[in-house]
Amino acid sequence: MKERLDRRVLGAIRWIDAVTLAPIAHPLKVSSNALRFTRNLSGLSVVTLADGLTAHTQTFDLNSLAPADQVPTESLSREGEVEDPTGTYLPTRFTLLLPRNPSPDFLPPDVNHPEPYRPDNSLFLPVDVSLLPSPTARVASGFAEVRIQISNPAGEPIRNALARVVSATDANDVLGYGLSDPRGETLVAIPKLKHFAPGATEAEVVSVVTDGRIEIVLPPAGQDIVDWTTLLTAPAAADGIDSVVLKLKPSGRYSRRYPFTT
Amino acid sequence: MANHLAIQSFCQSLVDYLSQRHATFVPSVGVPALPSTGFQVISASKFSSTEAIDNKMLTLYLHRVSINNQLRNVRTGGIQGPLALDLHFILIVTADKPEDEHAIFGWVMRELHLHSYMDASTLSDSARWAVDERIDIVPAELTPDETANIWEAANRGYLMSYPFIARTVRIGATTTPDGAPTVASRFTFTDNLKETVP
Repeated sequence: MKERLDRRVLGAIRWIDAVTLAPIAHPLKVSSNALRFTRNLSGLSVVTLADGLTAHTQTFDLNSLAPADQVPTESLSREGEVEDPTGTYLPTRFTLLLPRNPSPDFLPPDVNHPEPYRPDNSLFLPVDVSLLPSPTARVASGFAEVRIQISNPAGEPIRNALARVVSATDANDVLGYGLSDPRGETLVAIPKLKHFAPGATEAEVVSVVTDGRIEIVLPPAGQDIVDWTTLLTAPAAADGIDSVVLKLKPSGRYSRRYPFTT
Repeated sequence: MANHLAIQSFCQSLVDYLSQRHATFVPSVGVPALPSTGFQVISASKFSSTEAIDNKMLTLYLHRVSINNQLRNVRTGGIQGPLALDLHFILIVTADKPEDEHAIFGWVMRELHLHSYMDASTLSDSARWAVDERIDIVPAELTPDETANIWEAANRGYLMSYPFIARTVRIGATTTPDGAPTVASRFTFTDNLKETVP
């Protein structure tokens, strides 16, 4: 008699602080109708089951899968939501493309990778999902804090509106992002602003401020939780570009209201 | 958490920050400008030699490094946490005239009091500091005896100095995992002792 119990995981998610880009250490509440997760000791949420990939989770060797069970890499899209019980981060929706690339092989070095590396869709690499800090989160020292109250013209708060602070001289230079909570309150934390810059001559040093401008992107209707990354490149609302230029400094605090008034 | 260049990066960043603050200092109306001064970090070998410390200079000397007792066993995730260090400095100001020395001393102590930390805006990139890293600068408790011992060991005359501690400098591992994570497992049970295939 011979019995086998084969198990396979389908990938893992690493939760990232969108401002500091550091992994989030504390446990988060992850839910999905199409995925099942287990948190491992490294703080990753490991995908142990997915709709349409049940056969994969019970297979040690993918080559032994029946043709009907074989699924092309990243051909399935599965969604989930993550919430932070501590309230430090705002909930967000995310999408996973499954199955991940199961090849253990490394790609050869190139311009961006001096050493052999795994492809971004490798099963052996976690998927990074970024979470934005909520307005109640503690902001690290040295970060500029831009707080925006986002409401509609009737004064009702707008949830899930994206606020981005861009350089006043180059709108493509994004300094930071934030998302409004159910009260319409939004925090944009901006790290790594400089105190000084070179002056007119090589020996001269001058104090600097960074000129920034707020842009508001209104959320899609009817969603309690959004995937904020889908709003990143969306155009600002018609009245969503602030005419006031913020003079940003490290540790500076700024507040504005939307709709903007001068 | 930074790499092995953290100590060097911190020292240079602090000196750079102070020199830039000095360069951009604007006195209030009726207050004289700050005397000119240079900024440097000196090595242990120079400090303990008879070589004179340059005149008109604000000098940082790292005289001791210790493990931070509170964070020695703190870790998240891996078996070994980062190395948490306290850096013990003395700050020395030299100038031709006592009034210049005292003016610089008062200014730099006020700077370290009002901006008592270094963060991503002021730390250099070489050590790969985390974006939310913060190194606090706190006054040190050196007794007159300890101060005297430092200067006796230095083979030089006594100079006025200000001791302070920079904490906590966390140095992490930069090694990559030896192998790939386990993604599939097989448990086999058999009563055939000659079976070799899992």
